[in-house]
Amino acid sequence: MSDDVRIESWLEDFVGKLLEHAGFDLWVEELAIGSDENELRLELGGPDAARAIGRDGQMLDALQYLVTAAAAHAGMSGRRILLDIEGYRKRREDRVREQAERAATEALERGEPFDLEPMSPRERRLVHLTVAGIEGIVTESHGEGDERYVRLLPKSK
Amino acid sequence: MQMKDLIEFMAKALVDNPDNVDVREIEGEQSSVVELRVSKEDLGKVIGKQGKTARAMRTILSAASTKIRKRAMLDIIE
Repeated sequence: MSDDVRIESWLEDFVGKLLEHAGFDLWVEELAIGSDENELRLELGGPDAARAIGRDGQMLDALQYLVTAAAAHAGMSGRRILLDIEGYRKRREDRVREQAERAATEALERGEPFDLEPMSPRERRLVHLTVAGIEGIVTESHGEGDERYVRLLPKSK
Repeated sequence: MQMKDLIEFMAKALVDNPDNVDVREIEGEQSSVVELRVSKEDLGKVIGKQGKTARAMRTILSAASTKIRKRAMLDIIE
C-alpha cells in the first residue's frame, strides 16, 4: 500500500470512529488533497453539521486539533489536515479573502494602517497571501495568542 | 454511547502506552466526572502545548454530554 492510501484510510477510519464516539450523526463525505499536496481535506456532512461546527467553529476546531494530534502520533506529521463541515471553512475563507481585499483598498485610500479582527494562524496566512498580490500594501501580524491579528500598511513612497 | 469510551478512544490515539490508559466515570445525578490516567511520560501528550489537547478533548466531551443531557467534566489525574 502506498503511503497516501495508508494515510487516507487511517484518517477516514479514525475520524469516523471519533464522530461516532462523540455522538455526532455525521460522516466523511469526501477526502481530497488540498490546495497543495501537503494538505489533506476531509469534508464532513450529515444531520449534526451545525452542532459539530459549534459557535464560531469552536467544535470544528477542537475536532481538527484532536485529529491532527492523533495523526502526528500515528506518524503522519508534515501533512496539514483540514476538516470542513458542509463547506463552513470554505465560506469563512471566502469572507476572509474579501475582508482582506476591502481592508487593502481602505488602507490605500486613506494612506493609513488598517487592523483586521483577530484570526487563526490559517486565516492570517490567507490574509498575507491575498494581500501579497496587491500592489502598495504590506502586512504584519501583531498581538499574542487568540488576539493575534493582521495589520495592513500602505507602503510609503 | 459512553463518555468514558469517548475519552478512552481519544487518549489511546495520543499516547505511546495505550495499555496504561485508565478511564473511570464517576456518575452523579446531573453530571459526571471522567477521570483520565496515563503513564507519566504520556501526560504531556494528553495535555498538549498550552493545554490545547486537553481543551480539545473537553470541547468534544461537552458535545457528547449535551447529546445525553448530562454534564461531564474531564479530570486528568497527574
